[in-house]
Amino acid sequence: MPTVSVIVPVYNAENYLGWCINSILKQSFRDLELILVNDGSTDGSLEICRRYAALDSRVRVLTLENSGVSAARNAGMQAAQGEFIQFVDSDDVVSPDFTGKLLETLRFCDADIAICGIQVVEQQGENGGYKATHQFSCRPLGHFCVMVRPLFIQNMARLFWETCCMEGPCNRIYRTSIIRENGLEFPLDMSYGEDCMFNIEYYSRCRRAALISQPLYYYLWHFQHASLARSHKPNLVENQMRQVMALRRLCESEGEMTKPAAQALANYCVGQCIKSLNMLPHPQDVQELDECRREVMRMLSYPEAVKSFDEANYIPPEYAPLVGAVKGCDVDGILNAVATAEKRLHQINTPPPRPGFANRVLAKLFGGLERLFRKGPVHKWARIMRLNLETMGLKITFRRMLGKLTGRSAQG
Amino acid sequence: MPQISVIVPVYNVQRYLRRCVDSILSQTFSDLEVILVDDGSPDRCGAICDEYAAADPRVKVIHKPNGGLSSARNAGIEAAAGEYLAFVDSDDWLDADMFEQLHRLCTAHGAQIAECSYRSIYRDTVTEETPCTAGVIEAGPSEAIRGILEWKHFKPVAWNKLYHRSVIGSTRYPEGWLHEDEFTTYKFFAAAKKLVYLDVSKYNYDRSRTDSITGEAFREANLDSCFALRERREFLHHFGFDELEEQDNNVYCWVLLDRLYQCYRNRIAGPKVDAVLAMAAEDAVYFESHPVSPVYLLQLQLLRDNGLKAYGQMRDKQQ
Repeated sequence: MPTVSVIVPVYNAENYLGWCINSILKQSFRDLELILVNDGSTDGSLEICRRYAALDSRVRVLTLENSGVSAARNAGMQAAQGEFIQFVDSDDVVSPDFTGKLLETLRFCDADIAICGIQVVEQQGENGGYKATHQFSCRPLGHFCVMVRPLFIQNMARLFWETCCMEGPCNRIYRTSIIRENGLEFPLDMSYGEDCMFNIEYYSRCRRAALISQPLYYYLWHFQHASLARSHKPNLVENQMRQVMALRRLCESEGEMTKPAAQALANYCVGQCIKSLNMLPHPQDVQELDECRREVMRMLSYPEAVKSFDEANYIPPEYAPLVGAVKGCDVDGILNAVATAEKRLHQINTPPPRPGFANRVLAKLFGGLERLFRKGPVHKWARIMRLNLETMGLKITFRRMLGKLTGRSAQG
Repeated sequence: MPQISVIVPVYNVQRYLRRCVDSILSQTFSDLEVILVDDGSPDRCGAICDEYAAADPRVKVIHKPNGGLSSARNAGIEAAAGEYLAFVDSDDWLDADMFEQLHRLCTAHGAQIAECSYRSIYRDTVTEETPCTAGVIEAGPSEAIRGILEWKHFKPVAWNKLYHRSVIGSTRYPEGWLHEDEFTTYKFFAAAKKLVYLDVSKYNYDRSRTDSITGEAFREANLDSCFALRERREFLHHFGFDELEEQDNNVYCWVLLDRLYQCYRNRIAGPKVDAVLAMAAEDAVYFESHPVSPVYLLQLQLLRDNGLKAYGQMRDKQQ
């Protein structure tokens, strides 16, 4: 009987599946089984799975009719023979001590869950190389954190809000006994946030949790992901709210939350609301607009969600107008605020067009002033003006200057 | 007699040597001997090799005066007693089951050469060479050499392969030349009746060092690949691989012209450059009667008639 079962749901992943499987099998920790759950792939994924199963006796292939990633993970869990379970996504890779280090940590701490950091790696261009960008890990709290249940629950909101590595199923190791004894499964009726629900249920059964900041899991962002159309997920906002409410219940399960915890939870709730509002598609006609309105109304039907906009002490500055709209329960106001914020962020994040004649002249002017006045307020102002012109273009620079002069916040 | 002889040329790699040798000694296929060839290494490598030999009876050490990578590999070949041979570079390392898989492939498919894929380890990233689909490809010598020409499976590198001793024969690596695998690997392929390739990466190719012999900057020694490919042209003709002639000629021309262009760009001059230019002038005539892409023939004629500088300037304009 293998010690660890690693479960990989596979759906049309032929481009990167080989890297994923190879990275799991070549780990120094050998006593594992790899369960590849083929969820009705229509490309060459099944063939790749079969070939690896023929090469390595630790690999098993399960086949489902296309049922979704939750059903695939559940099928993998049912078939798992290991004392511990891990999940890996078919287009990611793991480090050579992913299983070994997490298992060692879990055993050393006598914990029910061990969580590691995630390294995000992005492909630079269509056939470009992969470059490590940022990490998500427990580092805001510490490099090696061990929490007994009451403290785990007490820190839960902070963990979710500050580490961004608590929702997914992949950067950790679970005990199979806890999953089986409590009948834990990935819910089939959620199009989004189903893995977070599973985790929240699991966390509520942990006697002790261990977190290490080391990034052992590589989340790969492949360039072709950029062109995949943002598919509309049904009941998106409702699923998101369910997830946040479940987290709230978990945080309150050991008694009333401390003030910092409540604040962290409010910040997290605001962040999730903004995320789900951003994922609403741009309405093309009245029907789609009404659908968006309904989604917003569903969000407003959770009083805790509305209250969190009051309690939060961090709102991203571009979304400041959203606060007033939510407090007033103004459906169209909310949609407008989100659209405006998206446009603003897009402006800031896209590189400006080639500077026009006026821009170049002004930039030269400010550059000259900068050199003339080596130090002092004039130098500082000229430098800021020149940099703004160069990075953001004439229009935005003027608007910001006007805004500063008339004392308004960055808006309009 | 051990099944596999693993030959590791060692020079100036004391920071990486243990990683390499440990990964060989901990292979799941244990019936092997490791031949560490200390090529007159000035650092502690010689002592480290002796440590390994004292600790593990499977390790043999050869201390020899410095003669270069080729001479080290050749010394290893001479000393090897195994039925199969493998080469591992001393700054690289292996996945645990590499030789187990390569040996299994040879016996299961009746092949004399087995090859697997590899990954390149850079300072801040890792690049897999292939998609690792676990596909298995069988080939005869002609298709394998075509693989070299197309840089697909069956690549010219020496170290991701297992060779049966019968394909080594009297072939040796050319001493004093860079790109020594370009001189040799195709000869091993030609001597095999059957080759097999497994599309899973099991070899870690270190590209993070700047002090390896194929470092970053272009230098005169990089012209050695031109001589290698010239020899290959003769070899393929002599052994009747006519179906590969045109493609081999095209690859040869591309490499030749590219290397000369690099000489122009990096302002490299010397006896080797002159020798290659003389070769190119001969080829301008040779390819009038042998199949090659007309673009290359034109460029060779241009080079011969107007000289390297003019050719370089023309290429500059094309960029």
